[in-house]
This record gives sequence, C-alpha cells and structure tokens, in this order.
Amino acid sequence: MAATTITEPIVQVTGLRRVYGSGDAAVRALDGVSFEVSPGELVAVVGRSGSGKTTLLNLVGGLDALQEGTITVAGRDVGGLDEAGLDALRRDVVGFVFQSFGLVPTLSASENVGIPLRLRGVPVEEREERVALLLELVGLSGHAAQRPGEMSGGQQQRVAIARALASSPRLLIADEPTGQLDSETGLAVMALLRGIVEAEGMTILVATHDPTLVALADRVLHLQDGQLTQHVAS
Amino acid sequence: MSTVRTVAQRASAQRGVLAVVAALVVLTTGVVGASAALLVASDGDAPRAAFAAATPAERSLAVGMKVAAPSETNIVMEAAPAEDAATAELRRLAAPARLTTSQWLESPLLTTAASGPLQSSSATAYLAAISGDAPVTMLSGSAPTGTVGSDGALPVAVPSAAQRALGWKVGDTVRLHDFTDATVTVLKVTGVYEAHDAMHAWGFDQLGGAGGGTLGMPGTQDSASVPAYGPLLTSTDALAAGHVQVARVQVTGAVDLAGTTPADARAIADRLPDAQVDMVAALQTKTLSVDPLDLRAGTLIDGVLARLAVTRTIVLVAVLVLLLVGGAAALLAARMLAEQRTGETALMMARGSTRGQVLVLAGLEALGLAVLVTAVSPVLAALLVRAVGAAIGSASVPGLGASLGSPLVWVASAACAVLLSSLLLVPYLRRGAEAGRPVQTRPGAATLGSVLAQSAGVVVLVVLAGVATWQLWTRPLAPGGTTDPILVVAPGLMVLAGSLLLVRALPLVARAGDRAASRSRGMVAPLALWETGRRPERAAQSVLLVTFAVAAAVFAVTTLDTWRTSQVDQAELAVGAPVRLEHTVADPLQASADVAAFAGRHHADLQPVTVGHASIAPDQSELTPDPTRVLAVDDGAALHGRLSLVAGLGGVSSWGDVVNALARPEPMTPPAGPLLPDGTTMLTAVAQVDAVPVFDSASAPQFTLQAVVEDARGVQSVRPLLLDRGNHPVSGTGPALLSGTLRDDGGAVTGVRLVGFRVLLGAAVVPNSQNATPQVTAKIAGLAAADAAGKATPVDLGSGWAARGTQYAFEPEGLVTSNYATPTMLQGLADAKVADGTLVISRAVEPPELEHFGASMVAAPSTDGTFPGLQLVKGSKLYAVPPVPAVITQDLAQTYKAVPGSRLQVITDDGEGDVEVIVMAVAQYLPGGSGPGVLVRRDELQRASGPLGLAPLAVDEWWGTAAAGSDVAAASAAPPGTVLTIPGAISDLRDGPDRVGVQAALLLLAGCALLLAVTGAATSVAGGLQLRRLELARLAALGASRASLVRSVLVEHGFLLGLGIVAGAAVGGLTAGLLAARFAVGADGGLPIPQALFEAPWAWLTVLVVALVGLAAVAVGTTAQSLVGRARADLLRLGADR
Repeated sequence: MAATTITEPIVQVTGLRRVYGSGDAAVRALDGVSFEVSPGELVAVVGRSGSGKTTLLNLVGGLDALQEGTITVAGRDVGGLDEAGLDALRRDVVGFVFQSFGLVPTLSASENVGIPLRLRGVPVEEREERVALLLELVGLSGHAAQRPGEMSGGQQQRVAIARALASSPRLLIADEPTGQLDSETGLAVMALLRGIVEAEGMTILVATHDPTLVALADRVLHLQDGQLTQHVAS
Repeated sequence: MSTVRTVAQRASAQRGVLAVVAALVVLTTGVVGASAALLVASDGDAPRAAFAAATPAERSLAVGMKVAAPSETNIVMEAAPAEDAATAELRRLAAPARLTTSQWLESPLLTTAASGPLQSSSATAYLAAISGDAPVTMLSGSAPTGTVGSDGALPVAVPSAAQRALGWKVGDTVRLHDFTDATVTVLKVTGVYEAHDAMHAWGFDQLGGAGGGTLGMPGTQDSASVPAYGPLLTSTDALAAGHVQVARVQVTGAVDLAGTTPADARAIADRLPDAQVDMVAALQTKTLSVDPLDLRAGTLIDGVLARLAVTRTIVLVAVLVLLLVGGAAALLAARMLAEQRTGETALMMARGSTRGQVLVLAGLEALGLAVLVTAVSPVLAALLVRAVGAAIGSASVPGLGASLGSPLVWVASAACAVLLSSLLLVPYLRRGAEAGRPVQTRPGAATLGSVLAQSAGVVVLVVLAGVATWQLWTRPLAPGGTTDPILVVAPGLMVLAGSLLLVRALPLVARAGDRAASRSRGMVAPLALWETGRRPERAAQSVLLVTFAVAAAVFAVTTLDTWRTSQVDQAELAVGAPVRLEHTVADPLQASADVAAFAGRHHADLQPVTVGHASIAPDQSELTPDPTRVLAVDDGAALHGRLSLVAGLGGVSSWGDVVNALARPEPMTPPAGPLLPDGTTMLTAVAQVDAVPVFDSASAPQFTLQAVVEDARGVQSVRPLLLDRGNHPVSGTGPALLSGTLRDDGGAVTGVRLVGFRVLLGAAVVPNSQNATPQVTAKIAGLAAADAAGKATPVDLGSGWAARGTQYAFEPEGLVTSNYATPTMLQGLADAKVADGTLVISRAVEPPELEHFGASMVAAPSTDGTFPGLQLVKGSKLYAVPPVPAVITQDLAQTYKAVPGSRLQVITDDGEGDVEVIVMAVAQYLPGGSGPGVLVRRDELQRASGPLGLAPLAVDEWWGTAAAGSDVAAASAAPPGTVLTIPGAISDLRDGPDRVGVQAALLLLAGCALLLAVTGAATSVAGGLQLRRLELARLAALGASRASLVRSVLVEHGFLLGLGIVAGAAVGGLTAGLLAARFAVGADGGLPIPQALFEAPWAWLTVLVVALVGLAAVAVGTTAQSLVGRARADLLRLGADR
C-alpha cells in the first residue's frame, strides 16, 4: 500500500467512552478509545463480537449518543451536533454500509441507490445518471429494476455500497459488510471497497473480523473489551 | 392450565395492541347494544307512549245507526238494544284493550210549524243527548239538567245560530211538532251554546256543529230542503225516558291503547277491515240502517305501527352498516396484532407447534376478549343512549328509554362481541401466507384486467345491491307495520359492494402514484406513494375501513337530513303557516276581535284565511265531482312550505311573494262606507219596501234588511236588522224600525265600517202580472249606531252608492246562492241613490222570479257609480268580473290540462258564487293540505265574488307568524280556538316517541363510524410503523430527518384517507340518494306528502369530513411522532433479527 501523506485527519476520536446500562449491570462498550483516520485511508476495526466495533462505528457516524470523549468527522464535532446537524452529517459526509445490507425491500436496486440523492434534492436526470454510474461501478447495471428479495446477498451488499457512495461521502462506514456473505463474495465486496478508496480517494472505516479482509486495509485498529489495544499499519 | 397461562402471557406481551382491539370492539358492540335498546323500546315504551299521547278522538271507534224514521217508514225501534249491541261489538273489535264508550241519542227532525205544509217562514230542529261532557261553550244560561219539569217542558240548550235566526233566548218556551202526527214537544230554553272542536267532536251531528243550516225535508227523500237548527241539547235521561223519540244513535268508544303491545294493536287493526260487515250483522235486527263506521283508532294504530316499522328498519340498517365498519376496523387491528406476533408465531411453529395449536391460542384470546366486551358494552350502550338522547333533545322520550336490561341487548352485545373478536383469527386462517407477513407487489403489476379478474365476488355483490335497489324502487312498500327485509339489507349491501368495488381500483390509483413518485425529485411523497403502491394489501385495508366509515357516516347524515326534511315538509304542508288558528266562534266579527286580542297577547300576527271547497270545471258544463280546496289568503298570512315546489312564478322567494304576484294590476279600492263609532253594539234603521205597481196588502212579502260590515282586518259580517230587536223579518210594506246587533254576543265593535246593504224580498204575488215589469224599491233611513248604553249616533250614508240585483234562493237567514247570476241578466241592473239621508235602492224584477224566489238587491258605497269590483264594459251596460289570478295544484292542472294562462270556473260549495280564475302558476302542493287546490288572494276573491251578492267570504282560519319568543304554541288548546304551529307539528312528526329512534340510530351510526375511522387510521399507522421501524431507522441513518419521515407517513395516510373519503362519500351518497327517501313515511304511515326528496346536508357533510380529517390528522400525526424515532443504533445493529 502506498503511504498517504496525512494532512488533516478526517476522523479524530479522543477519550471515547460508552457505557450501556447502569450500576452493577453497566457494560463498558468503549473505554477511552482514541485514534485518527486520515483522508483516503481504509481502516479496519477488528475485534471479537462484543468488543465494541459497531458501537464505535455508530458513534463516529452519529447514530449513537456520545457519552464521553470527542469525535470530529470532517471537522465537525459530532457530540456538539443537534439532530439536524447529525442528519446533515449522515446525509452529506458519511455513508453507511450495514451488515444486513439495509436496503428498503419494496424498492428496486436503482431506487435504493437513489435514496441519498433524493434526500439531497438532486435533480431527477442527474440522479438517474449517478445511479446508473454507481450500479455500473458495482457491476449491477443489469439488475437496476430488481428488488432486494430478488438478488443474492452479494448483489444486495453491492447495491448497499452503491447507495452509500451515491452522495459522494467523504467517509464510508461499513459495519461487517461481508458478515452475511460467503468468503468469495466477501472478498469481492472488500475488493470493491478497496478499489473505491483508490479510485475516489474516499476514506473507509470498516468493522470486520475476517482476516482476509483485514489484509486489504491500510491500517487496522484492534478493539478488545472496549479498549483499543493496538494500531497496526498494513 | 398451561395453555391458559400461555394465552395470558401472549396477551400481556401485546397488551397495547390488544387494548386498541378491545376499544374498537367495545365501541362497535356498545353501539349495537344501544341499537338493540332502541329496538326493544320500539316494541314497548315507544308505542305505549305514542298511543298514550293520542287524543280520545284519535283513539275512537264509533258507529252511528238509525233506529226510527217515523215520517218516512213509520218504523220505530227501541234504541237501547241497538245501543247495547253496538257497544258489545265495539268492545269485541277493541279487545283486549279497554273501551270507554259514550252515546249520542238524537230525535227525529221536528218543526216549528203547527200544522199543514211547511211554510217558508217555518224552521226545523232536532234534539240530542250527549253522554259525558258535551263539547260546547255556554254563551248564556246554563246546560240543561233533568227531564220534564212541572210545567211539562223539557229543558234544552239551543245553539247560537238558532238564537240568531229564531230569536230563541234563555227562558223562552218553544213548541215543536212532529212531522207525522203533529205531537207537540214543549221545550224550555235554559241556555245558548256555541259548539267547539267542530272538526273532531261533531262528526256525527247532521249540521257538523254549525248549529244551523239546511237538511233534507222529512218525507221527501231529501228532494227538498228546509232550514234546520240543532242539536237542542237535553239530558240523556230525557230521551231515555221516552219524552222524545230517539231516531239516531251513535256509540263512540275510546280505545285505551296505552297498555297495548304492538302485537295486540296489530290484532285490533287486523279486525277493522271487516268491522263494517260485522257491525251490520250484529245490528241488522235492531236498526234500520248502520252508518259507515268511524275507525280512527285503526288509523292511529296503522300509523304508529308503520312509523315504528320504519324506526326498526332504520335501526337494523344502521346495525348492519355499522357491523361492516366495525368488522373492517377489527380486521385491521387483527392484522396489526398478527404482524406483531410474526416472530413469535414463526418460533412456535419452528419448535413444533401446529397451525391448529396457534389457532387455538388465538381463539382462546378472542373468546376472552368477547367475554370482556360483552360485560362492558351494555354499560357503554346505556351511556350512548343517554348521550344521543341529550344530543337530539329527547332524553325523556320513551322511544329512547332505558331498555338496557332487556335480554335482547345482552344477546345482541354478546353476538356482536363474538363476531368481531372472531375476526382476530382471520390472519391465521389464510392459506399460503404466513400470518402477519406483509405482501408486496411490483409496480405495474396492477392492470385493469387483473383488477377485474380478481373482482368476481365484488361484481356479484354489486349485482345483488342493484337488484335490491331496483326492487325497492319498482314495487310497493311493504305493508305498514312490517319490516321490509330488502329495505333492511339494501343499504348495507350497497355500502359493501360499492366500497369493495372502489377499493378494487386502488392498485390502479397507486400505480399512477408510483409512476409519479419515481419521476419526482424529493423523498417525502415518493416514500409515501411507494409504500401505498407496493404494500397494497395494507393500504387497501386501511382505505376500505375509511371508505366503509365515510360511506356509513354520509349515508347516516344524509338519510337523517332527508328524513328530517321530509318531516318538516310534511309539517309545513299540513299546517300551512308558522301559526294557524282554527277559531271556534261562528260570528266573524267576534272571532276577529277575539283572535286580534289573542294575537296581541301572544305577540303573533294573524290574518284571516278562507278555506273552502269547490268544484272545478273548464266551463260550467263539466263540473268535477271531486271537491277542490280553495285557499284564499292575504299576503300577510305567511304561508309556509317548500317554495321549490312551485313552478311558473319567476323571481319569488316566499309564498308571500307568490300571493303578492297574484294581485291584479287594477288598484284595489280601499273599503268605502261610513266608519261606525267605536263601541257600537247595534245598528238601527227605518226601512220600507214597496213595488210599482204596489203590492196587494194581503200578499205583501216578507223582507229582510241586512247590513254588511267589515272590520280593520278585512273580515266581513252580514248582520240582519229585524223587528223587535231581532225577532222577525218585516211583513208588509210599511216603514218599520229595524235593529240588529253587530256581534252575536252583543259586544261592541271597533274600527268597523258599513260596506253595504242587502235587501232580501220573499216570494210575492205579482200584482197585475200582465202589466209592466214590477219595480221593487227599498228605502233605508235614519241609520244610527247605538252603543251598549243605548246612546244612538246617526250614521251619515254619504252620497255615492251603487246597487245591483242578485238572485237568491232561500230565507230566512239570508243564505244567498247566486250561482248562476249572469251579469247580462236583468237582475243585474239596479240603482241606488241617497236623498235627504235616505238610501233608495230599486230594481226591476221579472214576475216569474218574484213569484217563485222573491228578489234581492245589494247596495254599496261607490265613488264612480259602478258597483265595487265590477268593470263597466265600454259602450254597454254589461258588467264583467275579471278572472281571479290563481295558483293551482299539479293534479288539477293535469286533470284540466291547464297551463299558466288557462281559465277555470270555480264553483264554491258554500254558495259564494261561480268565480273564474286564471292560472298563473302550477304548484305540486298548496300549503295547508294535500289534494287538488286553488290558491288565490283573499281580497281578489272577495272582489270577484262580492259583486254577485255582496256575500262576505267566510273566515275559516287565521294564519300568520309569531314573534321570536312568543308563547303562542303553549296556548294551543285555549280559546278562541285550536292553535297549530309548524314547530309543534315538526316536533310531533320528528321527535315523537315512535320516531325518535330513527334519529338516534342514524346519529349513533355516524358518530361511531367517525370514531372507528379515526381509531382505525391510528391503528393502521401504528401497525405500519412498527413493521417498518428498521426500514425507517435505515433511512434515518442515510440522512432522512425525522420530520421528513413523519411527513412521509402523514402524506401516505393522508392519501389513503383522501381516497377513502372520496370513495366513501361516493358510496354513501349514492346509497342515500337511492334509498334515503324510501325511509320517510307520512303521519299515517303511508307515503309522505309532499313526497320525500333526497337532501344532501352539505354543511353537515363538510363538518363530517373536516372532523374526520382533523381527528385523523391528529391521531396519525401523534402516532407517527411517537413511533418515528431518531436513527437508532440498536435497531441497526439488530437488523433483521429485531
């Protein structure tokens, strides 16, 4: 991997703590996590189930309430954003890829991909061009009219990736994007993400425990019991 | 035990959804229970109250019979056996209801003539004994008591008409003679009376309570008539003791229906069609003849039972339609419940549970719900009955009484609860689909062909609904008192078929919306339309509920308005004016003064109205035998009724305008003639009649002088001026001092003018008939007005008078019948002049006329020398009476093919003459009654008929208005007459105990449908959002704001609500438009008059829609706000395994 010149980190996490429950039943999902991600990096967050990967990604993406610590995404203090600010963050800065694909089942592939563009009020023609481009990018040009139930898991995840890319986010957060895919398909999806980073200079923060995928990352963050145990550069 | 615990745990886990389900079922079941209470009331309290509210006259069964006709058949029978047999037969007819009877015993006609043929100066009279309280008002003296006194005279009370005509007064002894054997009956006058309640209580009387008139002369088979007075009231004992023979008997029974069940009442009514035959059979050996029975109790029973049948029909209709709405709501809730349990059900089946076991658990849960609802809903029903009673202001009306303890209420509640609760099982019964799993369709999947292909069942329903409606429109209504099953089922069938048909079209609409959404730029509307179009089953269920609910509410509100409007129309038509007074005083001026005082006390404005009957003909050769009502009103009489029923008079906005438009262009001459001093009680004059050649003193005729006076309200009265203060006409030709009171009771008058004289000359032998035509002359001098103290004030006759001759038929009270007075005849020519304070009236009389009929002349003040109201035709001496502008009824117009501009002859039955009318407009009905009728201005009719004989129009009634806050309606039974008001009539027709159930049922239906629609919409939203919460969370994660998601939900359900409202309004409006008018009946249970017309209460419909939209918006908005959360990490993390 070519080393990237780090100028201004796109993600800065400092002293992040997140506790679920209270009293004796309190669980420290994250405990003093701090790290930075530079633009154009593909950073993998690895760890066992329950280690805090998803919590970390949700906090970075503004999907979970920040309890302690600071998160800055593209210069925006996530903890200081109100609901509208968080909506704007998710709409304009961050793209999500979920483990369970997160497609709207009643919509076709192209309609799913077009959702972020509709949320941004992109003109119809421009939207359709962009959707077609993205579907082509993920290799699903011939499946535009198909609904999620009519596609394989890998195809659905590629549609999800295309949707996440639709609004040209500066940060793509992918939570176990290959978790429901076979290894071959998972590898293809991860290769796709890698290609996007290289082609569009996008930053990707991906949670996974698949060692094959970890190998494609620029950097790996290990989480154990809510704590970042090591940073590994690939 | 384990199963029960499982059921309890399942219920506990979904207690929120189950609470919604329970609320929907309880609401529907409560209304069904309330409807059952209305049905119970319609079979118990309501008919009892309706029967109890009826007057004895309305509850009567009466039979009149003739037991003696001495002057005709010489057969005399005993009255008592006939009376007993009639009473027994009436009791049989009325069984099991009690019957309270009264008797009317009447003598044969007796005469004042001592012997020989009846003279023109003779009169006849008859006696009667009325058991119980006679419907009379004593004007002077007292009612007779006891039998023949020591002086051999039978005490009697005489009618005021006899007092006026014959001079009988209290204390007089009168001798009457039998026509056949000249037996003398000596009577002692103890009092003078006036009949009241002539419309109802004097039906058996030969003179109808008028006290005087003409009757067929005994022994002539009615070929000749004689003046007759009566009845001379005496005691029952007097007739029973045989002091006077009994010729006619009437037995009247008032049926006590207050405690009668509808079944018993129906049994009574069923006997009545054969009652005449049975009565004749029972009396055939005891009477000479039996009159047609008066069966008003049957009319009452038929009317009440028919109205109750309509009430029951509407209650059942409301229940059926409500069950559709409640069922749709329950199905929606059942779907939501099943969706919530999708995972649970899948887990159970994965662990080995069978479909049957899942079904058993759901069934037990439904059973528990049904038990709970059954226990609660009767309480709700009680509250609803009370609330709806308060809403329509009839909480105390027995038709809404608490019948909630009735088994029917509990059975109906239980059945409804079980039915609706069992719908919770429906999602588990669908084969091939997993309970609760939403069904998706692809855009474009719905085509017209596919929609039609799936609609076979709906098409069958539509056909059935069409057949039912066609049946209702083409066949007669079910007999009164029975519930028409087709009428009960048809509205529900139409709502069901129409709603399903329109909802079938939803995919087509959704497809269009889907296309539009795909081409749009934003996210909110497309998300809503995609959801609608791609989960059509859920959307259809939601739309179906709203469609049912709106259709039910629109049907209920529209039917209620149509029904109410029909009742108002009927009341307005029957009463005719906001206030209508039927006075009971015969004397016009006295009645006018009494009514004026009454109106002043009660802040009312009442105007005289003439309601007569007449025969109609395009010309005099084609008289119709059917009597036509002639309604003559002043423009201030405030006629009332639906003006849209009038055609032909453009630009009118009220019946007052119609009457105004009937005025002729010629200016109306104001009343002329000298104004009498206020306080005048009597007129005196010296009068003399003579002829050239002179009458032979031996054959000199009688003559009567009559003064015609008019008060400020335009009421005219003819007052005879007679010898000896009103005892006798003048005989002979010498001058005589005559006098006469201006009112029957001798009271003073105010604002009264003298508007003319009538001179009536009896038949006379014409001297030297071979010579020239006799010239008859009447001279009237020394006219004076005297007050109660006897002070006389001379009355200046002025200078300008005109006269004309008229033909007349009979004396002694001056009944003028000038039916065939042709203006071109000689009799029309007469002269009048005033010289030295003496009015001289003269005319030529053809000898045959004078010998057979006598002669009459009328004179009136005139400024131009012509008789008032007549037009002088240029170049001749012929007079012409212009036709009277009139509105005629449609049936009359059809009979005579009359159109505006046609002319018709109107020949009034009471001798007011032959009047030609010109048709100005045609109306379906005229205010005040149904049937053929002619409406004219009273002053125009007076103007047209007056010249023929200076005959005042009778004042039959008084119509007008009352000021706001007037208590005139409360004085309904007080003198001077019977007051009818439109609000009172509306109240009787609309809010009576046998009718209030109609309003209650329809209001409950509308209110419940509205609530079910709102609750259903909220349920649909909640269910949908629960199902889509992960999807919404993902959209939020993609940047969709919560507000935009809520807006999307609002748009989605607003779209569905809009579709449901449009479809429901169409279905409900169509159903009501086709069927609502079929629910309206008249007071007698028959077709309403005027016919019921479909009414769309746009204001109420707007309120309904606004309320529905407003409440639904609040419910949907609140639900969406509470269920659409921020982007939730936990949901996203759990994903599909939420």
